[in-house]
Amino acid sequence: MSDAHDKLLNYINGELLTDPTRRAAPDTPLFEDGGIDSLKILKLIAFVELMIGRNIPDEEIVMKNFRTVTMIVEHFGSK
Amino acid sequence: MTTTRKTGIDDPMTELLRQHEWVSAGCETVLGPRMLALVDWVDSKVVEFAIKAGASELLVSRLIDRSVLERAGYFESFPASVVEESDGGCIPPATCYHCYAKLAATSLPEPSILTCIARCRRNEGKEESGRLRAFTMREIVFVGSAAWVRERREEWMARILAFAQSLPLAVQLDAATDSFFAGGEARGRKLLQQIKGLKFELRAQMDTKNTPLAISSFNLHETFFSRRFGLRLADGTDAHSGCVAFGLERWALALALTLGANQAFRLVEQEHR
Repeated sequence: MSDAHDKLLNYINGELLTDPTRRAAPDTPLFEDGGIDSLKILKLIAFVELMIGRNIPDEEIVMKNFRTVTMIVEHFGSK
Repeated sequence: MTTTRKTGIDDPMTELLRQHEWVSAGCETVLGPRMLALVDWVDSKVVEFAIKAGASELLVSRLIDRSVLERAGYFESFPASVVEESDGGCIPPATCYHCYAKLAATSLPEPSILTCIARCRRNEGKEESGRLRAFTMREIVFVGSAAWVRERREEWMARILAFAQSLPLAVQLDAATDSFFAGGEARGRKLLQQIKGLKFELRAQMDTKNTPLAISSFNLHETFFSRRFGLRLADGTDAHSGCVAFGLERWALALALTLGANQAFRLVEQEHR
């Protein structure tokens, strides 16, 4: 697992998934159980933008790029 | 004598206006009898699909109680777009709200499909051809498990895409988001809708100048309405819901502009022979 995976998982589990029964692993679908709401998605995008050092246009914010932590890292890489 | 060959797809609009079948009257658009018959024809086709798919048809009242829209969270998402007509009575901004009110606080022994039609009204800022403030909307609403509702939505997308192409309309099916979200979390809500693929629109090319206009939408609401209206499955969990909406005047306009007004009107006449 890469450094980017670790950073992202720590952020998601520490800051976004406040319910302790919900914990994300690299391949956990992030949007299927309502854990990420309309405010948290903005935080997630801001965190990924900071991680990769560029803004993410809305067109790139689709399920195939954001389904899991692994897919986010694969699509956006890191800075 | 010089003859003018009809070119492009602007001519059918001129024809509609000349026949007084599509008349702008201030902020409103008035349809003539042949366009109204075309609206009814499209609706009859949709109802036929719905009944075959097992839908129950509801007859709904002209107004919807403001409390139903409040319960549905409508004012949080679309402030200022509702037209209130009398004490507590609003012109529905969409047809499907009638269905959630009807199903409120019921335990669903099995998945349900409902359909109804209503005259709707929204105070929309945008002015463009085919975007009416008052319009007729037929909706099909599904309530059941997440997987069942998603399957129904996929099935209806395929069915209606094929129907539109058979007419033939120039249509495309696109992922979409509601454009009205306002407030601090607006972008978040829009992106969440986009990422989860909750809304698709069937867009028809009305003429060569304008971007295609949505004539139908195919929506998943997850548990948004069921939590607000207490819709539960037999096992006690929150139901999921989804809907398919048809802007019937837009369908009729798309037909008239694509086929030509007279050719479109013949669809109705052939039916009555």
